[in-house]
Amino acid sequence: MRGRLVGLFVALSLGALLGMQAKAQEQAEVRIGTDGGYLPWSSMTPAGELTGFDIELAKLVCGQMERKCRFTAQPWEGQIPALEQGKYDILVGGISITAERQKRLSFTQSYGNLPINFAAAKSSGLSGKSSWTELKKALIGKTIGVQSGTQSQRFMENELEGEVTVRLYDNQDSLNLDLLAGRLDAALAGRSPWIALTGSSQGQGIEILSPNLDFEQFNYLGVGVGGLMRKDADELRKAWDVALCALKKEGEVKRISEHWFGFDISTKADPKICGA
Amino acid sequence: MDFETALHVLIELAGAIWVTLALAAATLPLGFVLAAIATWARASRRRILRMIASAYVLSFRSTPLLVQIFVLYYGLSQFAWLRESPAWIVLKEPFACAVIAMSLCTGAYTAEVMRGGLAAVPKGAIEAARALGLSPLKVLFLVTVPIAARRALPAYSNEIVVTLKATSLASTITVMELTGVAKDLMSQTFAVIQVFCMVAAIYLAINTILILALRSLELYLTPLHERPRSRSEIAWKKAPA
Amino acid sequence: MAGDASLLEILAWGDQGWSRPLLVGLGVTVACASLGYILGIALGFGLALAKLGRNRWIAAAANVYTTVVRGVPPLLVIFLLFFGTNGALMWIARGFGYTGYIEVDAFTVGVMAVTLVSASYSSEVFRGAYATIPEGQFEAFAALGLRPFTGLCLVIMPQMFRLALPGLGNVWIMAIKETTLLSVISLAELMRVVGLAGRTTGQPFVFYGAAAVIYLVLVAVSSRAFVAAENRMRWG
Repeated sequence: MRGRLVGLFVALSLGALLGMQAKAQEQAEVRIGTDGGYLPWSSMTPAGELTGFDIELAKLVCGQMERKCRFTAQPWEGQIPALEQGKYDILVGGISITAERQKRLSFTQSYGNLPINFAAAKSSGLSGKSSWTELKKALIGKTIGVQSGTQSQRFMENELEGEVTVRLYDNQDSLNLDLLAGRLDAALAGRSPWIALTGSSQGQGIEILSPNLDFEQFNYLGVGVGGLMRKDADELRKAWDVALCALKKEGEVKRISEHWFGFDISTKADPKICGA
Repeated sequence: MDFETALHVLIELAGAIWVTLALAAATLPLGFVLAAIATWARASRRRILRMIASAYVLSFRSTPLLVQIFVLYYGLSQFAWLRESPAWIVLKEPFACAVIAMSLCTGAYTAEVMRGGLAAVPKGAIEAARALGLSPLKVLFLVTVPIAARRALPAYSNEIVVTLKATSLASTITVMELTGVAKDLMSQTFAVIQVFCMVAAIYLAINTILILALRSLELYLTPLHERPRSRSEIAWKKAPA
Repeated sequence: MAGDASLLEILAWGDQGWSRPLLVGLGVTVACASLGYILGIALGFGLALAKLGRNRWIAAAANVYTTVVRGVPPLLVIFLLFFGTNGALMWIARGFGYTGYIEVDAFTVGVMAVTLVSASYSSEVFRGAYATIPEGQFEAFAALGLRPFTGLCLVIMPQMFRLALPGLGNVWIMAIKETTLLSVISLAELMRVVGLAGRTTGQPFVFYGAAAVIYLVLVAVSSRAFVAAENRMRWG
């Protein structure tokens, strides 16, 4: 009996081995990982093609570096271990640069920074505040939604920790739905999703709250988003940064950001990398 | 991951254990009641009741829980009339929505478990009880239910474990239970595999305690002469090694 | 904005509509679930034999396996399998001097994940089925003079399969649902397509509704098949 069992296991594991299509990849290609479901940074067409601000920018960078690039879509949770294991060389798609994250992985220079705003129902009584101190006072005790892993979440942790109820969402659509349904008193996100929402037919009852939370006042917001890489990928990071310098100088980053966001979100060229 | 980060992660996760346990603790009794109602309706003489109950069990067993939670939470909130009705007081809360959706789902599965348990009750036992002159209600509670409960316990303990694991989906509607906190921590620290292993260890610990406790309950409820071992020894004793 | 496209456009067949990706996703789901399910049942049967066998160590190992796989969230099983197998392969390859990236493709890992989970659950189903076979059956084949091994194969196992059938039907539903989690390792199964489509078109309800209907039909059809098989195998 035992002999048969062993035979069964051997057969099964052999089967598993045959099923493996272990493929070794060439190193010349730059392998880029992205989410594919994160408008307008990175999204996917029905034909399976990736589009979005980050995709278009990455394609330009690849052209600038004169290297071939290949994009793969994978949900965010799986991307980090895949990057660390070597499946990707770089991840793009609206990834915020933070000190905590830089402990483990490294970023390219920032290429975009979406200003953030609160939004709420027009009837909420939160509108017309002239300064952040005033708005903050009005927000205390409210329920506020943000998308997890974004600049907005960091803002909440820095400014309103413990004073409001924070709800975390996987994506902007869920956040919009709950804001529309009235489960949230207010929500914090990049300005462009709010422009899209308030411009749509269902979002007529929503307004963008003043003031704009600008980078000068909250300097930890000032870094923006970048491409994410392993710490040992120095060569690629340098090449990528140089390409970004050139694209920023040519105004290409500004041009595609206006296309995808409706306004300019590009950040200035980092003088330490690009020179004066 | 350095020690400081690991400690921070562990403390955050430990705080979320209670949310997970509370979700399961609220879901299981509700699901049990729903299952009991469905089981009663499926055995009813009225065709319409049987049909409704069967449709409930079929539809909630065959669609992914994620879809059910999503539709209940985001789908129902689309209707303005619902938002103005008293039901909104409950449906407004993510925790309550998670509990309702999971109860409906586990209720459908538990109804199947109950049906299996009832089917395993020997007809002879019921006939014997009737012959002794017990009233139908007494037959139900003194004979049918105890036997069925014992038969159904292994499958039901399975369902308990599945429900506990399923609470992880509540994080998709902003309930910050173990998995939700873990996702947030992963996104902050990028230590995806490490955080995930810690969460898994916590789930495994809770579930192992549950499985062992339920197994001893099962053994306790099994009459001495039916306890395992004797029969397998007949079968394997002479089997060539 | 894509959010204003009509329902017909969204669901059209062709490059601009989502019907074809949905159908491909369904194909991946069914292929992954059924392959993993068949392998899982075979492995689960082996595990059940191990649990019922006389060797205490093998039985204990099988029990630990079942408890661990049941106790850990399925998403983690998938994660560890994917990154674990890749890591192990690369570690071996490094021993031979190859330092590039090697990957077991997501579909294979998906099948393996479904296999491991359904093996764990089906082993319990088989064990339960074995326990319900009346003792008389064992005495009967002994009285007929059959050797234990022959008796087990000819008398006990066919009954075991028949008794296990309803439970195996549940394991099949579980296998289908397990595949909904495989998107994290970038397998484009049905649920991943649904999520992507919902987000890019801004019409999540259309797609989640479609997913509910598709899964419902899938499960309803296969449940019918299981019931039919059960009826066929019922005798006497």
